[in-house]
Amino acid sequence: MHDRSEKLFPIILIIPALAIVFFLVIFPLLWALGLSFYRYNVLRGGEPIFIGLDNYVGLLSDPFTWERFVTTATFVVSTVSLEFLLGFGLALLFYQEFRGRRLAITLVTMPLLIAPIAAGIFFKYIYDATFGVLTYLVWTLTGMKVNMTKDYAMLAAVLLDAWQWTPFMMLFVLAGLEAVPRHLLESAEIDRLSWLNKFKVVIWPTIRPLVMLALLFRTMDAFRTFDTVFALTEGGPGTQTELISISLYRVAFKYFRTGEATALAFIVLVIVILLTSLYLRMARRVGE
Amino acid sequence: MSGGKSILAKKLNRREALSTAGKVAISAVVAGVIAGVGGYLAGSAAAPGRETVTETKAVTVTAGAATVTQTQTITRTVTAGAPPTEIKPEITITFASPEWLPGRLTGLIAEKFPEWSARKFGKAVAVKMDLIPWGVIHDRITTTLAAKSKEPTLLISDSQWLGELYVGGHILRMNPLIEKDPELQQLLNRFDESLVNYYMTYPQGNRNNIVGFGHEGDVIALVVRGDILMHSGERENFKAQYGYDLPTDKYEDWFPAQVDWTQLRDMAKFFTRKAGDEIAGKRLEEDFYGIAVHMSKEYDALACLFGTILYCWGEYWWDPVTGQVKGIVNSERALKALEFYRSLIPYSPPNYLELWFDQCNAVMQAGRVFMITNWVGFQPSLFDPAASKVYDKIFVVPLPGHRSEDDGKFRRYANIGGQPMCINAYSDYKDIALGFVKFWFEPEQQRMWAEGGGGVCIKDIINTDWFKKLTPYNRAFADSIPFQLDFWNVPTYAELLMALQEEIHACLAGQQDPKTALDRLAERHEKIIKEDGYPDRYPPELRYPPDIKSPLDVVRAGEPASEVGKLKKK
Repeated sequence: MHDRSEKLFPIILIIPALAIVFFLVIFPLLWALGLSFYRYNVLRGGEPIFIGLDNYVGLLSDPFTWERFVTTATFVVSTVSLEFLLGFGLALLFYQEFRGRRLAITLVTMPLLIAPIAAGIFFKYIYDATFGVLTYLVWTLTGMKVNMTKDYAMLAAVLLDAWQWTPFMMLFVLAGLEAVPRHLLESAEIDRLSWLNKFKVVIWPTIRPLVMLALLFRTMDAFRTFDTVFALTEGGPGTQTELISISLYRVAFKYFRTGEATALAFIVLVIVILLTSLYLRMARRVGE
Repeated sequence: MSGGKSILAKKLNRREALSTAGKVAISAVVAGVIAGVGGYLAGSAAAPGRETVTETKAVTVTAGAATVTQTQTITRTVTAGAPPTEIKPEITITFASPEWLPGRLTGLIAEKFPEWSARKFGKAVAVKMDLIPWGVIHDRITTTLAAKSKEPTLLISDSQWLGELYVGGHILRMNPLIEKDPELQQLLNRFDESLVNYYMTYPQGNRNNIVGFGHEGDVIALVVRGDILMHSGERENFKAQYGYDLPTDKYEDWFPAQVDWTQLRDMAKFFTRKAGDEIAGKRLEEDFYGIAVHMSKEYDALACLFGTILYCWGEYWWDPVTGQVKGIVNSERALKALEFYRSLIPYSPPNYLELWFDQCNAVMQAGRVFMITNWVGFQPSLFDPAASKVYDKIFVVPLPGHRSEDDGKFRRYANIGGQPMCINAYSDYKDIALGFVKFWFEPEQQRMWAEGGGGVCIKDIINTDWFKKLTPYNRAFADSIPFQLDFWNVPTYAELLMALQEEIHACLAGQQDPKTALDRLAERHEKIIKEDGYPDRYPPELRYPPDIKSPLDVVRAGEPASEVGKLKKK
């Protein structure tokens, strides 16, 4: 009897947490999955009509959906690569001790504290082709009139994202660098290893898990970027920067095609899960 | 300072410093919370005391069914010590509105409703404003109504939302109530035909479904730099170059005179100058642009301006009776309209792809453009000396029209803005909401509305000299109302609008030529309409009646906009 209650006690303790997860995460997810097999417009009302996989088939055979996925992939690859390179560079810089280092790190990480929607609006003003600061600076320095949101809209969005999220990447890499055992570095110094070999043999194995984690987080995040790009370009000009998340928002809350929107959300979810397992597999393979 | 070290001199270790900083931070947060709650309570208590004070000359003007008090134009909003009424409300209803001047003004005027409702219904009803930013109001209102919420009882709907809200059963069809109420029947006759068609009916022009009452009237009007226009040297040069005289800054030279959009382009081209050039005898330090018109992808920015040009070129978006799109929105006339719209780009500011009401105002306020088009509702800041360098150099006139190359007719149409107020179909207080509608259209409230800067929708007020002289833009507003049209207000409007904004914006950005843009648009529109099943899957009362004139019929024939909704001749 005593044994039984001892076994039950921990289960009772986790029931509230499980209930919260079930009602706030699992149940809505299952409900949404069910909804994705129906034609249903929440604003129009009426009974949902079961259409099987039609929403998925319709979306995956629609060239507009693929255009959005290609745009999103371009955005994700560009932002994550740029943030990785810049973040790594900054981390190496801040790995050195110098006067004002802590203040510099604080200043560099400031963009992380700004709400993405606000960052989008700031950059919209900075890029403005008539009154924008960037336009003015480029014109003053080169005599060229640059129109970022018209001629280089994707680049404008990538730079904005990189400005905001490079510090995130930097912090992860820096944390990894700080964790490299000092004695190993000293041994490498004594063995007169070249910088490249020191990095390959000593530094990289230590920071690799953190770098992979940072890449994973940023990839997932970049994949669902919405607010910055929406505030900056609304997906334009035309549909040049129309990410899948913007498209999803429009289908769900502008067109109210609720069934189709949930189907699209699940397609995105599957892609993110696939990307995550790919990263984890890569991380494991590199580890071996 | 006796008996101890100065606090500045005291050395703290890291732990002490962190602990002190933590205490200071917690104190600041607690103080902030207390101050916030206190401020909120104080603000709530003071709120009913706000009042609009107008310096009036008590001259009564009777025009049609309306009696208004003529006033000077100085209106001030002040915080008065005492609330306007001592009546304690028994019921509170919510009014959802965009967060902008007309919304705040509605709230001020609604403070008189408890006294009015107590007198009329025997119970005092307060109206609480729910002011929602423009960017999210559609999402907020539609999701609230989708959840069948009883509040807001009253709501502002953009004109194109009427179909989706009404077909979904979310807003009240008012015909049965109007039929029983002579006061409301009389009220209907006080709106211009255009406002009835686009603010109040679904489908447009079908008076069998009255689903709203015009609240904030708005139109696009043209704002011109009078000082540059009237410069004798510029006028002579323009005539030498184009062979005709520039219109003057006299209103009649622009309306009812038949100024053509192509003349506007001539002016835009003529007045576009580079930094270092001269304009009106002055050397320019920065580039100067000829025209700024709405071309942004945001919401319905370019749809309204391109629509205006499309109608003037004698074409419309679709046939609302049959649902046909191909051959209409991609017709020869539509193509010429888009080519014309695109031809304004070389004379526009470099941020032309983002031009909407704010951007157009900004470039005019900075004194860097000869003319802009903008919604009248956003024009007050152009005349504010604190915000505008050119507040005393500009004038406002109605938009031009266009004489068609193929039938020789001059067409002057524009795409309407503004919003109706509707009643939530799930509300427990529909009768009170209808009472608010009556209250709202009484002369005293309409006077406050006009003087505070609201867009009056009642034609017997709009057409008074008092109203036309109240602001620099009211005359253009009043003269523009009769030639307004609107695009679709069917339930799929959001998808149709998005396709339009995407294809035309891509064309303006140079990503596709006008023909490709219109062909793609026609394809997408037809697909959206077919998938929705319009008109076949709609019950007859929700389709566009085939026996009345549609905007397509009127625009193509070049008839006055007021013909929309009239019976077709057999």
